[in-house]
Amino acid sequence: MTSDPQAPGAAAVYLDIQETADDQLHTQSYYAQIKVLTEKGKELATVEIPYRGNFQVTDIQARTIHPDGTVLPLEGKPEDLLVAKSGDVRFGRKVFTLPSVEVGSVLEYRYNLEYPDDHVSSPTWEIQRRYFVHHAHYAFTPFKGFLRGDQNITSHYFTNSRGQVLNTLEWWMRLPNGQKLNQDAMGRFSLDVTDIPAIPDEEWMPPIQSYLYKVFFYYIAAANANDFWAGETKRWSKDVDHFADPGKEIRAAVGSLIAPGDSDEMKAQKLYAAVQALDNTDYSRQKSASELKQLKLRMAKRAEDTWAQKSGSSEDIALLYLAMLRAAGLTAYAAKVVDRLEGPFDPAYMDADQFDDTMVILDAGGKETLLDPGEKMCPFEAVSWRHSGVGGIRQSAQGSGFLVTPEQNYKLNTLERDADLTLDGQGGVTGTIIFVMAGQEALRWRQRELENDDSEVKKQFDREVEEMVPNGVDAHVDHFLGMDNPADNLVAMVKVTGSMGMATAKRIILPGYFFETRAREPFVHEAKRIAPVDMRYGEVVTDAVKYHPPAGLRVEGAPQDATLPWTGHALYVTKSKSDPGTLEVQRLLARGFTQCKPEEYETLRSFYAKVATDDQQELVLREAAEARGN
Amino acid sequence: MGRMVSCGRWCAAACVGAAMFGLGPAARASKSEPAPQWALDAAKTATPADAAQAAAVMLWDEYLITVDEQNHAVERERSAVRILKPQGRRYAHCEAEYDSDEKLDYFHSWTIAADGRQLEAKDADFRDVGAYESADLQFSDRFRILNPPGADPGAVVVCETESHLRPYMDSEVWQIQSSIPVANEALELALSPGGHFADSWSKFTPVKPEEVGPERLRWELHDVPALDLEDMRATPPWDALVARMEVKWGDEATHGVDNQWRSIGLWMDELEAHRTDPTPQITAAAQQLTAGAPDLYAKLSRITSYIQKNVRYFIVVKGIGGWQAHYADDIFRNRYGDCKDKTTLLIAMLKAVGVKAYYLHVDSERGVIDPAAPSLIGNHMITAIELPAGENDPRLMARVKTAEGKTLLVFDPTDQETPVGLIRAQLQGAYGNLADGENSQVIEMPVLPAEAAGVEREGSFVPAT
Repeated sequence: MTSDPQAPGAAAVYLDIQETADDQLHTQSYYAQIKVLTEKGKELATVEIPYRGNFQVTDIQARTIHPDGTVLPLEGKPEDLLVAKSGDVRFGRKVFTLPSVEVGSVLEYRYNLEYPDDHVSSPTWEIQRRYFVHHAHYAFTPFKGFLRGDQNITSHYFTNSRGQVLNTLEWWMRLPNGQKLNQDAMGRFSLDVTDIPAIPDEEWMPPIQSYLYKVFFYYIAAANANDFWAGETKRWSKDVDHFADPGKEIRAAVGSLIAPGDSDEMKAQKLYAAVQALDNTDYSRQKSASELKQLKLRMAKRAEDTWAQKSGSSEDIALLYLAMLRAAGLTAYAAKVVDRLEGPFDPAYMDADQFDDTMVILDAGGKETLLDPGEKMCPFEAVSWRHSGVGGIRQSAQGSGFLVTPEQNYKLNTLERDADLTLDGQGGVTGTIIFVMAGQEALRWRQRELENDDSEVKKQFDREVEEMVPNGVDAHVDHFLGMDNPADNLVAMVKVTGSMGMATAKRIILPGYFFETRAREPFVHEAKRIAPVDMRYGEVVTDAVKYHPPAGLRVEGAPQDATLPWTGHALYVTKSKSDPGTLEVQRLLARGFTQCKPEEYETLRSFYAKVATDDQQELVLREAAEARGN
Repeated sequence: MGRMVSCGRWCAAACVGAAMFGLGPAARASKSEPAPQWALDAAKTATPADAAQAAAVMLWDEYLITVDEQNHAVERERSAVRILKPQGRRYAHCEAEYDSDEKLDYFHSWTIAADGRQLEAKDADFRDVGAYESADLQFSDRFRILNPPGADPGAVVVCETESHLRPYMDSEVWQIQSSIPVANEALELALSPGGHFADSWSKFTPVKPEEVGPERLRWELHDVPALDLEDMRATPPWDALVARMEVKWGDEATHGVDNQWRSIGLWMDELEAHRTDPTPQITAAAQQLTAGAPDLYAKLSRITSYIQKNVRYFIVVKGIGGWQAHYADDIFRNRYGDCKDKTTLLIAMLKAVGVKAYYLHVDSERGVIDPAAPSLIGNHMITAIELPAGENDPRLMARVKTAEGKTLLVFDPTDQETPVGLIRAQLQGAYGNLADGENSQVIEMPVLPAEAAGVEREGSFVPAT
């Protein structure tokens, strides 16, 4: 068999997977059986088994079974290679490759992971894989203290890194419809799944981990989910309040930064500017513990440390801002959210490590405003897209709880490209382009500038502009305006030369839309969609290209005006305007949505297909004398 | 310095994920030591005027290679980099490679800030990571990487390492040029009494060493410009343009370019001795494949095609395994191996049917191997198949003649797409070292005619109504 009707085009399929975990015996075992369907599928013959230092990979067995039944066992010892080492912690991997693999072979391997008796290691079942899975069986026997029956009563217990007794076993799962996690009378778990599709690989997906099928088990020091989050948010809130307690140094600093007559908003803005001016080590360089010690500095434990050092991580700076707001007499709370790049927050998964970044909520003037002071160069009241539309935890007057941050307002993320181009009779072009950026695009470039010097940023901008302009056109940044002022638009002045048209005896044929000749509209080439779509943030891109054709040429054909709405989601508008001596082509693509479900894909694709078709129009200039004769 | 023959580019620990900083076996104890005098002197070096626009500048880079009576060498490196711009920080992350054959004795570092303040790198500023290219090209090599304290623009990061070089290697490549300007650099070679050396230079006018002591020679260079190919189009690969020198000692230290290539070829032959011996199983397989082949082309085509399609690429490079292939029997049975292994099996199978073939050591990119600079540099192995006199099959295009008049057909068994008779573009016009005993020599691979490759596209369209 070199194809599988349930996985058309697949390079390989998993015929069977067996994973068992036993926290009584402190061991996990793995088995996989794979069918190689194409040459590419042979890559599964190489098996890498990651492990951390106090685990041991044992009893590795593997074999290749040819279609004719010949069995070739793995001979020789798998290699034990280093991944990384830090202090006493070592991450390694065992590597081996199966012998004599050919298309049609079945590969089989098994191994055990053993860990110390004083550890428990609840499993994670990654049910969805790179290739289709016909059948998989999972089993987990928890530590005896979590099993039912008198024979499992024990005086042994485990603690977490904070010394809390782990007294509850929880699990979190995302499973296909109809597949069920079973628990027997003693409390042992099992799961049998069949026909699991491969992990999709499509453009503009949300973080892949956020919707794959999987099951997590974990031991926690809480009675249930509510109890867990109540404890975690309380602990976190206490730590935040301790760090952000406005001591006398903070109060003195705040007193020098704001004026008595300032409104609450003015105070908040001034303090925001002050913390934004500090060295944010997420964008420069974080000092190591040994460096701090040698400099006789200390790791920031309180906001005043960050203020004294005029430097801190994004988290330190956000909490410093919180301290300053409180010192100014304003009501403010901390929030901790996930990073959209990493995945959504799921409260059913009880792990506070889900959260990545700290934000601040200002409660003033009868409303709450979400602020992102840890995001260097982010304007006041703006938020990084990575912190928009995400979940997290927050403080409030009523205690701590969950929150979901608002989505980005697409109208605040704008890119305008205004070109003024002079054409000659052979399709040559000179001129300028002014890029005006606001919102996320401006933030992106300003943050680049923090990590590089001006010349390097120009190089990087040039590389991106090169991908926007027609082949044959050279475009280089001359200078930026507003790079250091997040409150302003960011402007890039770009000089253009080159050749962009095709000149015939009587005509010059130019691309209809200057910035779209090399663009590749998304989704057009993908007929079907499995994963949701995540385009990060809504935005408006507006182009206005003014051509000055050579004397003696007139417009014979220009892109037709068009309006393509996708109600509630996006809008595409184009317009051409011809005046004596000039022709202006305008294009607007406004995308108000960030995410789409697979069910909306057909409409989404249809919209972009129409845009792509319309973008292919040409602009044709013709000799005016000839045209008059006709 | 130097690259193993592992059939592809492998990069340093930047390829590896986990970013952790911690203790290593040769790391500094917690008591602080001040920066040594050589470091303080290097840090006082002014930034050359023509380096002012660079992201960083190498102020000092010195190697000391000490060779004992057994021709085993210890190498000490001292370097000093001044960071000029924020993006220049990455040039200050010194690293040292080591494995079971190349032991790292120590790795020390200090940062000297622009105001003269010193910060010493402690255990927590180092991390160890394993080298990794891909699932099928892995290494037992490790890198100790420094995250220097105080690495801000204006600071100078100095590093000193000492390693025992691989005991089976009698040469070391000195990469003279970098992607940042180099103000001052030196290589000093300390030989044992009666020891001798040879040097070869590529992309740089040879410099005569100064004798600084008995059996002690020193080469010094100043103001070497950066090799910066970023944003340039259609350039040869960086490794083909970068200036380097190779110093040899012991048996490899012969004089004359031809002698040095011969010496390298002989070393390769010795390393691979008996690895290409065909077993009865290999012989039977080769004879079965070629049974009834109407001509030499068919014979070669069947065997080469078998290896291209049936021997999967996989290797974990360990120590001498970077240069020495497995035995043909193991490769045939397991049906996996790297480029050296595929060449080994091919030579064995051809031997079994009466065709002679040789190892041809090359690089995967044209221009890296310099015929004027004999060296073990080169990351790939292919095969040179000897054609009988008078063999004129026009399909066997990739031919080259040796100095002795042998006609060899160049073939790459790792390349799954290029059939026998042709070689892919990156090898055409490049050089390789033929391992043929006393007749070992550098040869230039042929440039095939344009009609040997190309794409024809035909389309027919009906306008939509």
